Amino acid sequence: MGLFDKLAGWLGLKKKEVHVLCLGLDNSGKTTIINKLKPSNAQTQDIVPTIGFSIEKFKTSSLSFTVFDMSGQGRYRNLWEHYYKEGQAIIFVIDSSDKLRMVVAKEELDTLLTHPDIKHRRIPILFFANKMDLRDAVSSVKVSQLLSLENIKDKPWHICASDALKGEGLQEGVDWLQDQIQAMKT
Amino acid sequence: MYTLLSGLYKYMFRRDEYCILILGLDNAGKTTFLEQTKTRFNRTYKGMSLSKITTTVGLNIGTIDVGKARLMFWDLGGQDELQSLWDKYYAESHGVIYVIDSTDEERLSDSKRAFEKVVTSEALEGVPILVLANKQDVETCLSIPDIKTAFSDCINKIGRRDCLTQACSALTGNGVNEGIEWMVKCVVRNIHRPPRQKDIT
Repeated sequence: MGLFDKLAGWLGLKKKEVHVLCLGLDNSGKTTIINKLKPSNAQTQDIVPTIGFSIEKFKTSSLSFTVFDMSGQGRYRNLWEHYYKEGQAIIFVIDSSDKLRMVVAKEELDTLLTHPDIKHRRIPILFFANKMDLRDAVSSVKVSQLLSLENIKDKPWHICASDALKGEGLQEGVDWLQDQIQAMKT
Repeated sequence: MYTLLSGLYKYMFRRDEYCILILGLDNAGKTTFLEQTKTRFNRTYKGMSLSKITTTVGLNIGTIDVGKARLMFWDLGGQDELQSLWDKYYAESHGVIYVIDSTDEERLSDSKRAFEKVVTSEALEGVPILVLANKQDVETCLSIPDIKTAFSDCINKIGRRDCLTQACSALTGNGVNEGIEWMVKCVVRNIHRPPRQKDIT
């Protein structure tokens, strides 16, 4: 109901809603990350490969996030672009232990960044260099070099080392994203 | 006729875009400086609270309009490993702001080493550099003459370019306006690096 929503907004009861896209290759840990960000009673125990996409919601101290958790499998990646217009921020997840497919991730990132719906918008991008718990994982700085993130010059970005299984590093990244979104909206 | 009118329109509403890099060691106050600048030069910008700023790993950006110039700031992370990213931005930048933590006497030599690397880089030849001695609000900080002495052997490496050392406090905002105004003046008159031109839409 529009009226009640507005009233709640005026009273400060309702948090601002933002749409965020969660992208990345398959098996990089997107769903695990989103799952960890939800309140502990809403978390699921077993995580299976996402088919198509799923919509998840969670709240932080001042914003209410609606996350489009997209499937990373090759055949579903063409779905991503249909959601670019709606996204106010992007979370891009990378499997830091998968050096072989780092180039694939870079390719997908490049197509994402050159897409007309993304190219000229100044939306923040948060990178999670995930799976830091694995022994052969490379550091977040190395990941940023492998993906040549320095080529992103007109969008704020942030890379965060994370371990989605334990939930380490996630909050820090989301805090950054929240600050950026709030700064953007004013 | 159309060309004339569109030319006039472009002349009136064109803005020269300059890219400014903000460099310095970690915890020097680069992001705080950027936020302070944004709040001071954008009337509508509310900004994030300065106390909440954390370590930058990546890139923060900000744009401000000063007169006919539009400055775009790239604020990069200052940690050791992240310094390897700095040089990727040199070719496209019109000015550099180098932030020094005036309270951190121990790492002043590290800062000097990083500064030397910046000024000796060929890609940055002739680009104006603003050196900010930050955190001047702290009582025990080093003064401008102290810092100038510590950096004295860099002077001949600076070469032919505009360079200014300015005391500032990113937290309180002292010296921020002076620094930015100097920077604008220098990038505008630096003919070796013409601005990117952008129409205002």
